[in-house]
Amino acid sequence: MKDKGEKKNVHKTGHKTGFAISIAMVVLMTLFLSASLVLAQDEAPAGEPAPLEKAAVPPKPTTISPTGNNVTYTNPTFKWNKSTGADNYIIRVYSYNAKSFIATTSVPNSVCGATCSYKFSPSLGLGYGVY
Amino acid sequence: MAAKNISGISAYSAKRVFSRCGTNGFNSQFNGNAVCWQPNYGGTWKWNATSYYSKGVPDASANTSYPVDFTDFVYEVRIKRVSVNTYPNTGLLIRGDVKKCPFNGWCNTYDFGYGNNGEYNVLKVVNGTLIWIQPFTYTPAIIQGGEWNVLKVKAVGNKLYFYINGTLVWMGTDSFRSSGKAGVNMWEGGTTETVYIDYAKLTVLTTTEILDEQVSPEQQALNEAALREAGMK
Repeated sequence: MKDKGEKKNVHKTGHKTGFAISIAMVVLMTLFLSASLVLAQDEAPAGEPAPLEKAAVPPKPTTISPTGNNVTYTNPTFKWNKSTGADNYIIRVYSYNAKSFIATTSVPNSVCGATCSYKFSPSLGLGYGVY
Repeated sequence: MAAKNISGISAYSAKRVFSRCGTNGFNSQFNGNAVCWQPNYGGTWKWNATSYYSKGVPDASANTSYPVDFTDFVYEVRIKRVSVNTYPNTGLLIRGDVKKCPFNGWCNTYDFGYGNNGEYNVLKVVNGTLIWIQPFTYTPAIIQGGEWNVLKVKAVGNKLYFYINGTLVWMGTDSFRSSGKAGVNMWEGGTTETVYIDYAKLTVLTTTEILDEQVSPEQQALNEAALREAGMK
């Protein structure tokens, strides 16, 4: 009985020891991974590319045209200067006669070369008025 | 217009105003709309079923214009000012440059105004400075008391003719401005003042048109008396 008991105790003790070792390993691995992440966030190891930074909000674009009065402006071409870091551009057209925005669209950066250019499709079909 | 990426959207760029309006004149009846009319400076302009109107702003101008430059034309506006004061000026701006100068005025323009007290005047604004051509002058042509009056201008080359209710009140020559915007100006508005425009129409003229009209002797006498009183003659 005693032996069995000792064996039981030995078994129990061995089980406890193995469990403790497992916990310790998990803690160590967690600490290691955390340290690695902190290192990766703080500074890249020499010789490796810097981690990607969060992009800044692009500056507001500068519009070029349409401008002035032109009776052919039923569907004018909108032109503007490229904005550094922009993925898309939002164009809004306001009607002074309707006193509201009559068109809004998001245009991809792919319309940009030296300058950006976009024409609404289907046509805006602007009537006489100020926009 | 605004730019955007994964981090957000930029501020919108400054508005760029453009227009699509007829360049061969206009006939704006203001019956439920004011298509192509652009408020310029000082106060808001609204429209109802029959007119285009503004209360203006105190101690300054409020003006609106059609966004096309015209050279030679006949420009006619039926207008009235409901007012507690009789003297403030209301009138037509022609051949104007709508750039803003002090008191919301246009920097360069001719201004043909009238008041509910029965006086009209003609002036030009040169780089923001008012230069009187005809000072405040009485004319029986004005219907006083806030009633409708029809103001008309004929501009051909350097010849300018100003009419009130069909009566030629002033004519002369001036070469300061040969073309520009046509508009309406209201001086010294406020909560108790309202200018209503029933219609505004402009017909483009050919420069070869000959205008053979004269101010009546009676009105000419009034004009000269006003010039003398103002020390301009």
